Amino acid sequence: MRSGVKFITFFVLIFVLLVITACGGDKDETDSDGKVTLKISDWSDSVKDIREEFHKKFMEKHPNIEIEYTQLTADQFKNTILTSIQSGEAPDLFPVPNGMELSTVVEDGWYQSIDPYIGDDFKDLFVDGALRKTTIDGKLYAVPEAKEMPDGLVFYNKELFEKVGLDPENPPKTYAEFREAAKKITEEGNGDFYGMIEGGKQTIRWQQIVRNWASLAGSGINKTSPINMATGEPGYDAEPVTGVYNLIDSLVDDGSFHPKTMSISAPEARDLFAQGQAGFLVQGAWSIGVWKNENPDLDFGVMSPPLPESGRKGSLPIKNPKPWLGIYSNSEHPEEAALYLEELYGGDYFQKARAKKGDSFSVVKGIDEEYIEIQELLDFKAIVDEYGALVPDPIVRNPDTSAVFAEYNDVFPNFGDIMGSLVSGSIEDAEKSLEDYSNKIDDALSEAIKKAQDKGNDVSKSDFEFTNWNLMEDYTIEEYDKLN
Amino acid sequence: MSDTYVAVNKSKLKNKKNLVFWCWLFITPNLIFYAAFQGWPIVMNIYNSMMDWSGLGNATFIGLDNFKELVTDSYFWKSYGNSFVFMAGSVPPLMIFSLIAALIVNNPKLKFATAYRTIIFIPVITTASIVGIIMVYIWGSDGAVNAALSNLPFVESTINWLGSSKWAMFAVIAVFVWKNLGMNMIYWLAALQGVPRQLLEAAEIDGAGVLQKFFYVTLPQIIPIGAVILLVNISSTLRAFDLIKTMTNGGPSYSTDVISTYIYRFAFSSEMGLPRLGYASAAATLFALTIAIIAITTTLIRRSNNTQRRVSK
Amino acid sequence: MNNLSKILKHLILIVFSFIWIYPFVWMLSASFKSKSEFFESGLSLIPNSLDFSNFIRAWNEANFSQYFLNSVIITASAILIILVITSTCGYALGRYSFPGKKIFIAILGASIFIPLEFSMIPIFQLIKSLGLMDSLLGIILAEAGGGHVIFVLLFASFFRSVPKEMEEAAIIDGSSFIQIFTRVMLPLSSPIIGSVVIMQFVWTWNSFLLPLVLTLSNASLRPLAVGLYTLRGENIVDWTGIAAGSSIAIIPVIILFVFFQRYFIDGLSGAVKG
Repeated sequence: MRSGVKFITFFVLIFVLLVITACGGDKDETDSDGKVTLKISDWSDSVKDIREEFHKKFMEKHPNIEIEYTQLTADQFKNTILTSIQSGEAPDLFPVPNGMELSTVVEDGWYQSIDPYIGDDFKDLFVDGALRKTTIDGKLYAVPEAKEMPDGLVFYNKELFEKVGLDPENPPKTYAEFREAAKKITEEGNGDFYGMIEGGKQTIRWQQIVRNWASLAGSGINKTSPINMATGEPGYDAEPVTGVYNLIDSLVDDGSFHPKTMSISAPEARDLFAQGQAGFLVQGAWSIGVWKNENPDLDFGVMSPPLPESGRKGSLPIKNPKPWLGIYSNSEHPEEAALYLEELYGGDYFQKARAKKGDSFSVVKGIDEEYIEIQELLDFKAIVDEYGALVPDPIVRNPDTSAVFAEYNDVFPNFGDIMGSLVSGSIEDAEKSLEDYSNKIDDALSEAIKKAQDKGNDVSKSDFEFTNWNLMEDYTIEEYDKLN
Repeated sequence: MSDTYVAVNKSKLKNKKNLVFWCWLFITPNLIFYAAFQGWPIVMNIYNSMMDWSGLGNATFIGLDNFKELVTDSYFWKSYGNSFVFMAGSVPPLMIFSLIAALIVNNPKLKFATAYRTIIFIPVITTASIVGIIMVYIWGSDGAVNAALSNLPFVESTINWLGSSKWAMFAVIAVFVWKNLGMNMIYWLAALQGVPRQLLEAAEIDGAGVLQKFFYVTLPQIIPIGAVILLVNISSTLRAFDLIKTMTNGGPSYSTDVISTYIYRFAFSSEMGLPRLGYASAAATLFALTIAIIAITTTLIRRSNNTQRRVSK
Repeated sequence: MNNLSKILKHLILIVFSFIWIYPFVWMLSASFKSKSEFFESGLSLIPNSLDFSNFIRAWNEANFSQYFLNSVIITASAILIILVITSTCGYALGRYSFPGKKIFIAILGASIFIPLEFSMIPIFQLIKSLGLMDSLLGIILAEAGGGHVIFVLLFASFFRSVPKEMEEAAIIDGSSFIQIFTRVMLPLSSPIIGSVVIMQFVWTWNSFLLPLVLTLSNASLRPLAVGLYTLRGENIVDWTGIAAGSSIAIIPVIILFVFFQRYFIDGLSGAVKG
């Protein structure tokens, strides 16, 4: 009869406990034994282990600093950081979220310049051009995480190649060969393995394929601009792009995609590839480190994206390294944060360990040459050296264009969604959708330019057109000068 | 019905003002928590919906521009429609099957009822991301569902449930019902405890069968709470997010894209350009507003129908 | 004959139960599997070996020992607050009519359709302006916040259905409004209290985004659900770790559920008799 009352009493007791502990918790905060807590948050999960090892070493070396490191996913980080910035409670060190330009957030007061807290030699640690996008008006506001590598290279399973009678040392080079190889693997697999697998649930996976493969075919499209920077047209309905869609469509027709493709994301796709369930997979360089660590038996190779029959007309897009960690403007410990950065780049451990792990390519001089040991990562590098070229960047040409990106409203469904629809069989033919998308992109960019102009920025559509861009060559800093 | 009690209470407690005071005192705490943590965000949401706001910097007032853009976006309406498809597909099985489950495990004569109750409840607490993974296997083209189906005589070919824009919604609904049925069973169990046992016993003595007992004794008693459960389900299905996000992320090709995944995309998933929090707020506001209008109109129509009937009598 | 049908009934129930909790059992078994086995063995339930390393890793990575207590405190306090505010509110709404009632219900009801999951900035700012940023109390209040329309309506419709005889005796005794509520009505509502406790426990225990945002700058206050999320990265997901961590985190929920079940069996029906 009184049971209700009884357990209310039970909860009252817990509540009392809570008040006691909550007060205790408060005291912890004000507890000052001279120790500084440095709060850091990002989403670099592929190097979490060595990052934590680095923190351990750092705290041993600097016993007065306590590091509190929070790792999130990119979406969550964006959500969380927006909320905490609004209330002035962000971590001391955090990266620029995806889709945002450094200058936009600096203008919004997110970061403070690192310059006052670092020694003269800090900037000399970095390779040429590494700090180009992290510097505004001559002041350093952030550091890059690693070299920007094209994320559209293809991994293939050598063991499956052998099993079905393909030459593992001679992977397919053209669209037709690629289709043929995928088909052969699928047929021989007989339901046990398939030609290709992707994390098709994530739009971004398809975007990476389209961007990189089409770029190699001469699309002129990459992540630095919504449109083709060689022509100033959107270019999503042009031949280099539609060619990629046709190739993927033919793979779908052949049944060469792993049937789980559309219902998984990248981590699962990578695991299923490692289980030998598919011949091809497109993912970033850091996959190499993950496989070496978790699937040491996997015999895989890396190859350049296939080329259209008409041959190579462009390059894999290589961008200037993008800004990563910066020091929060309200940070109470900017010196300690800068010290962290100095140890992270100039210290004896992290950059070397990262290169050894086979995760990515370092922005610190001399690291790649000396410490990358994994053959596949070296192969990756060789392909990038052969097929990659530095692309022009509107922000480098005219910093005011960052205002355009701040006003730009991303268009949905995007070209990755369109490819997803193609693979899931909800559309027969991508051409119409790509034409629509091209038009919407054009409108979105024009609108963003107009809004940016209204706010007093000196920008125009021609800032997004680089008439002297040779798609086969690096777009060097001298080329920018020639433009003006 | 409650009016009669009020009459009793009024005479006993004498002071009507006193009663009103107590009532307000009783609802005030909830009102405060509501106003601070829900009312205030709603007001902010409506305010933001008229802003061009990215989450940083200053917001610019743009009136109804967000709404204008929304109503012309066919994908907004697609997700809007999907939300209702999802609701219409999930709520009836949820309500009915959970009631059946509650009736079975509420039987005092059933042995191991505690165990069965716990088992039915377990999907509620199984971690969503793990559910997402296992469901890829279960609903995969070579998965358990297809294996079971292919044994049936009239099934000709298997279906790639989650990979097909035709069937993905069905699979997501099935998993949602599975995952949330336990919650509903709890609600029904609570409702069933309100059925006086003497009534059931009396009906039994009168020779009523199981079905008769249910329809003539139990059902009328649990309908009021049943209405609450229905409302709860409608609102939770219209706002469903976690499961859809983990299972299909709104795909393939937007076939399971509902309002909350639509909002999420504009708020946090733009790859180029800043988040559009103002636009996302507008989508939430417009969605809620139209549902409120639907709810009010149906209530009014029902009411006027009732009056007409009374008049014609 | 009777026995046979009973056995048959249980047989059906058992088969059905197994299918029903198959994903859960799969999660349990996955917590013993190695990383490659997780994907290799597909739907199989039996792990190749009993590998406890996942549990150890999950325990350490998710900071179980530290975050478990946080979770308990946050969840229990939030439930307590919610029980008090919703039962009183439901009582007033379900049992009496008073000026302003209809408007109040309309406002509550209208708000349940607005998807607010992502607009946390106002809540965050509120907690900050209350000066509760770096305290458990802030998280508790945020978790307890909201209109709890579901619970209020459940209480209201339950209290409405309680026969008037139940309180008449108390009224004749001269009990006050609050005495009638605490001594007569609240004990009757134990089935509703039971379901509110269970529901809210599940929600708060698993609540992730809100506590994450509130504790971004103070890791020591994080609850378990936030800790568990460190196993899930942007590109790399520790599936077996998540399975193991989830399996441990679920235990308290199951215990609570089994315990609170008894409140479903001695509700009004028993009370009327007594």
